Amino acid sequence: MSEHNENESRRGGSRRDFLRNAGLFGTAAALGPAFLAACGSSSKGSSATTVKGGSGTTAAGAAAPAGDPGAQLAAMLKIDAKTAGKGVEFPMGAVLALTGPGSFYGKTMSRGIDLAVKHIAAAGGPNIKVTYWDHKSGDAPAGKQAITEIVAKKIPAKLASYVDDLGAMLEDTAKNKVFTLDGGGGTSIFGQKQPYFWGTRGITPNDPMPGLFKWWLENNPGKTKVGLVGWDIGEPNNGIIKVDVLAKIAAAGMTHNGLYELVPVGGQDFSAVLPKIKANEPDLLIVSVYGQDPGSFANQAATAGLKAKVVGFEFTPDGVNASKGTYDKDGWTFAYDYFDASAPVSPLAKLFVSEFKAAYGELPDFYAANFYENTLVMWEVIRRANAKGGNIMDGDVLDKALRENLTVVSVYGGDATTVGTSTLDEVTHSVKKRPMGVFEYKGGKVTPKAFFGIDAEGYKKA
Amino acid sequence: MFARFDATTVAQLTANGIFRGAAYGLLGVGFALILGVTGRFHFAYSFTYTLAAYLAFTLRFRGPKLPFWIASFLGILLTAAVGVLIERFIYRPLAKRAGATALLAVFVAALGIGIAGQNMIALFWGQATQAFYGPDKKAWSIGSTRFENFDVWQTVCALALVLILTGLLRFTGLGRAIKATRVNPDLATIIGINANHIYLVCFAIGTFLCGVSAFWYGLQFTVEPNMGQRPVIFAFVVAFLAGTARSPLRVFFTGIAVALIEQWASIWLSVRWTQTAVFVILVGYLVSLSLRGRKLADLLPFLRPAPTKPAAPTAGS
Repeated sequence: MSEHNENESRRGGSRRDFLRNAGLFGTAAALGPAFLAACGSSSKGSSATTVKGGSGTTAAGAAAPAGDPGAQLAAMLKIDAKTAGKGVEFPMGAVLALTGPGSFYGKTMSRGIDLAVKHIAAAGGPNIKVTYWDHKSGDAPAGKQAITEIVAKKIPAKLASYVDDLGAMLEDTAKNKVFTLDGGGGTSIFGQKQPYFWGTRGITPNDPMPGLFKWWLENNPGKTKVGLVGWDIGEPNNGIIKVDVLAKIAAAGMTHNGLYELVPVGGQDFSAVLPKIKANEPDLLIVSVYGQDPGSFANQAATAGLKAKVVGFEFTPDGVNASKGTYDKDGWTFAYDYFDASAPVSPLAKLFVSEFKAAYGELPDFYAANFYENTLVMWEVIRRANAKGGNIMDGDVLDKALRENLTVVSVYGGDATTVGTSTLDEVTHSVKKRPMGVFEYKGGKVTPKAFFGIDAEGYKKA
Repeated sequence: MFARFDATTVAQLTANGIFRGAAYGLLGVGFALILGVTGRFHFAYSFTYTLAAYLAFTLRFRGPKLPFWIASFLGILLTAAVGVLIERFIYRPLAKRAGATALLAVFVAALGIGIAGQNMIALFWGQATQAFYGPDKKAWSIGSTRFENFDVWQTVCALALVLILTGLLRFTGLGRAIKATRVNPDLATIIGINANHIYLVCFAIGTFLCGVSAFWYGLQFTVEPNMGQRPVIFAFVVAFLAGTARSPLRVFFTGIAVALIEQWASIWLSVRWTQTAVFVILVGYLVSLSLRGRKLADLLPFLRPAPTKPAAPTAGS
């Protein structure tokens, strides 16, 4: 835009005035996402948020909740003051979907990060200075721009989503050794084994599929025909995911009926795909779409009279709204590492839920939990590096510190007195142990149906 | 990839095409009216589309909590007023200053308004999806073909509005003035037509139709800040294929044809490629036009070379 204006400014006065006006509109358009980025991270009660260019910076998190969460957190995690990093300013990037169809994710993820930043500082940890970037819900150029700026600013670590913006940032992340945790999409299948990139959530639809199929066959013996509708996230990613999905279908003794339809991300209209499903209707239809899309799909599937059991891999308030009452009336079954904020298990999960509710006036969802957890993991890695006298401003040092012990703190799992953990895989960089399950939402209530880990490990009915 | 090519599937896809096409057609009619008469490439149509749904939602479920139909009608009317204000206070001054490059200037401004407006909506109303509830949704069927009551109501509403607009253009003085301005705004001004006034009327009508389309979309799906992006592309395609100087009925049925192509394409193609099929046909159409020796400017008058004097009339401004 600036180049455009420079060129045009050589011309006459009235045209310059006109183009200045046009430029103002363009500037407004360009700054819109940044403005919103700030908005997404400066929700009720947050502080010290500034906006500069395409990013917003926050030095503190949400409003102070009741009690002393810092002391509680320090006690739970058995923090050693010598390695905690108090007084140190640690720069961290966060590349999220702050605008676009997935902006819901950016909002809830940034809330989780902001809350953790505040808790960590209160617990005697470093002052984590988070700079937010907006990948505009999966826009590859926006992701490339973000990683370029992160490298230029010498930021050693970042939290990411959309599998590091659908793969566009992975190469530069590895090349520049930017230690990265992705609690939004995890590694997916196509982002596995990428240097410095770790996925801290179960991969959907792949990871919960063995447990889901086991639960399905227990309750519906002989009904083995399965089909899939999923998001089109481009090649080669689609193909890589498909190979793994088909292998898991076969391994579970299910039969793929040939239905494997990919639909545009964020498209609410499923009118073209539903007749194709009806023409080749499986017993079990797995729907790997996210955000508002599962709700829209459920709503239209009900009208279309779909008989197949539909199972999704996400449950969010956006989905509930988009379902127009279908979730509540007919139910919505989903399978993944769902965070049940209505029944937190461990002391850490309880602290997180109560503090989140105090700060934002609502219960946290899965993504807020994951990014709160990721920020705590970042602190855990910093403490390990400090204990060895390493330079925490070096992404390589942070990565090595994580590799020392791939079992890290988690808001999932644990019990009434023990903080939960999550274990990452050294080779795939995805989670190796993660509690997940099959759940059903109906009439405003989530009911667990079965619990299991990756590859249906430890399967048990709820 | 391939669906079973049976009568049931084809009937369902055809019904879907007609219902979705009515929405495309209505949007295309509004877009074509604005583009054809005023020459404004009104890309901010996506913003007014989204705004209409949000205003209806807000008037019904937030502040005043008006009855559903009143809230919806008021929301659409307010959006039409916004369309008029955009023309009066942004496009017209820009076009006046830009002179021969008015098309580009307005396009850039419209793009900016569209993106900034969408972000402002997200700022004021939040990023989350809003459930816009109205009358109860009912599933209807004819044989094995299933659809919603909203599908039928939307299609009837769209057709009625297009017929009214066709009648207005054909049988009223205002309609003749609009057509005269579309053919030659300078000559229209000479014979006493206030072209600036006609432009405002076209923006009011076009934005009203856009608002009606958004209202039905919100009722069928959800209200969210990005809801206007895809429809405006289809409005453009429909207006372009039908021709901006053509009858609203022709534009409307072109919308249905586009949606039918999109739906039928799913018989042979994966759903992710069906929209591509529409654009392939658009390109094919343009190529066929060039092969037949027709000038694009015959179809789209606003593409004609600009006159030496500023094209946009300024009387009364």
